[in-house]
Amino acid sequence: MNASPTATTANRSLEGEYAGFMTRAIAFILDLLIIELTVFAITGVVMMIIGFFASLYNTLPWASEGRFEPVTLWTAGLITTISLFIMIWLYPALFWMINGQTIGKRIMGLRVVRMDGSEMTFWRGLIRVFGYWVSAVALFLGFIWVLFSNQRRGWHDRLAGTCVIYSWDARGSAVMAARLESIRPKRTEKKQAANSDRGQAPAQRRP
Amino acid sequence: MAKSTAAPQSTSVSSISESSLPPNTIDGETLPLRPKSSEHDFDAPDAIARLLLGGTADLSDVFLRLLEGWESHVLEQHGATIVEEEEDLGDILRYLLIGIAFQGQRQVRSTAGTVGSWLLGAATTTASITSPIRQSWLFAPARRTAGVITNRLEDRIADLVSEGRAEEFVGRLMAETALEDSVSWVMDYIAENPEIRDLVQAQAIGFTEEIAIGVRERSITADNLLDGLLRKLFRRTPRSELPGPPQEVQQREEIYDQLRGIRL
Repeated sequence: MNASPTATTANRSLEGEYAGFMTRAIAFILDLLIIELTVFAITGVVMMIIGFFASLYNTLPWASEGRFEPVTLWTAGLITTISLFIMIWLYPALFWMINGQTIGKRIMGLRVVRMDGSEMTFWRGLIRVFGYWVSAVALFLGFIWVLFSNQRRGWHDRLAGTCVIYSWDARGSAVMAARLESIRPKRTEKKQAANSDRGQAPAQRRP
Repeated sequence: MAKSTAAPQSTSVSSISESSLPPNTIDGETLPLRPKSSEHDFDAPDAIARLLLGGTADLSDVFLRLLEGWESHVLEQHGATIVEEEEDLGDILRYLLIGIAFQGQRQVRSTAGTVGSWLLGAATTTASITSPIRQSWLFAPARRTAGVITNRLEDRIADLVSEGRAEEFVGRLMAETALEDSVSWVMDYIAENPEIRDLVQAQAIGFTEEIAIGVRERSITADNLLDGLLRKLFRRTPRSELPGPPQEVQQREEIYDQLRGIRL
C-alpha cells in the first residue's frame, strides 16, 4: 500500500466514489430490519381486519351452525410469507427507481447508480434484487465479491449493470484514523526491535 | 397473586434496613425481606436490573391506574349512551377502523388462548399416552433419576419465585427513590440554568444527524481499512491507484444532488 487508507480517506471527500463493503453491509442490514418490521405490521393489520370480518360473519343467522375462525397461526404464517415475498422484491426496486436509495442506503449515504449513467428503472431494480438471491445462493460469494472487485461491485451489481457510490460528502472518521495512526508506530518499533534481535542473536551465541 | 409459603431467599440487598421499608405483605402475610447480615456487597448489574424492574412495574401500575380513572370518569360524565349525529362516509369508515382495532385484538387474544390450550392438551395427551411406558419396570432407574431432577427443579423454581418477589419489592422502592431524586435534581438544574433548555432544543434536531454522520464516517474508515488490508494481502493494486467510477456515474450523482436541492 502506498498510503495509509485511513489517513487519505479522513482528508478528502469520497462523494461519487465506489462504496465499500462495510457501509453497504450496514445499509443492507438496516433495510432487512425495515422489511421485517413492515411485514410484522402488515400481518398484524391484516389479521385484525380478517378477525373483524370473521366476527361480523359469525353474527349472521346462517353462520350459527359453525363458527368461522380464520384467525389462526396458519393464516398469520401465510400472510407473513406473502407480505415478506412482496416486500423483498418491491421495496428495494421501487426505492431504487425513485432516487437510487432505499431507506437503509439513505441513512448510510449510499446510492445505486447504473454504470452508463442512465436512470434506474423498476425492472432494473428487480434484476438487482434477483441478483441478491444469486449472490446469496452461492454461499454469499456474490456479496463478498465486493471486497475483491476493483469497482467494489458484487454479482448483483454486475447482473444489473449498476454500482453503489457514496452520495454525500464522505470522509473517513478522523478520530479512528488518529487512533490507528497511534498504533502504527508502535508496531513499526516492535518490528525494528525484533529485526535487530535476530541480527544480534547469532553473534552472541558464538563462543 | 399466588400465595407462597416458601420464605424468600436471601438477596444481596441489605443496605436498606428493614425498619426503613414498609412491610412486604402478600395476602396479609408478612414476608421477611432481606438477609440480616450487615455486610453488603454492591453489585452494579444487580442494582441496575432491580431498578429497571421496579421502574417498569411501578410505571405499569401508574399507567393502569390512570387508564382506569379516565375510563370511569368518562363513563360517569357521559354514560354509555351514544349521541346520534349525522354521519357521513368518513365517520362510518372511522368507526369501522375503531371496530376493527377492538374486534381484531380480541380475536388475536382468543387465538393465542386457543393455541395455548392446544399445546397444553397436546402435552397432557402425550403424557397420558406415554404413561404406561414411563411407569414400566424398564424405566424404573430413569424414573428415580427423573424424580430427583423434578424435585430439584421444583425447589429451584420455588427459590426463583421467592427471590423474584423480594427483588421486585426492593426494585419498586429503588425506582420511587430514583424518580423522586432525579426529577427534583433535573428541575432544580433547569430552573437554575434556563439557557440549558434552549440548548437542548437547538441540539435535539442536529443530534440524530450527527450520530448518522458519525456512523457513516466510521464505516468508511472500516471500508478502507478492510479494503487496504485485503489488497495488501492478495498483492493487488492499491485502491488509490485505481480509476474511479466513470464520468456518467458522477454526472448521475450530480443530477440527483440538484434534484435534492430543488426538493429541499
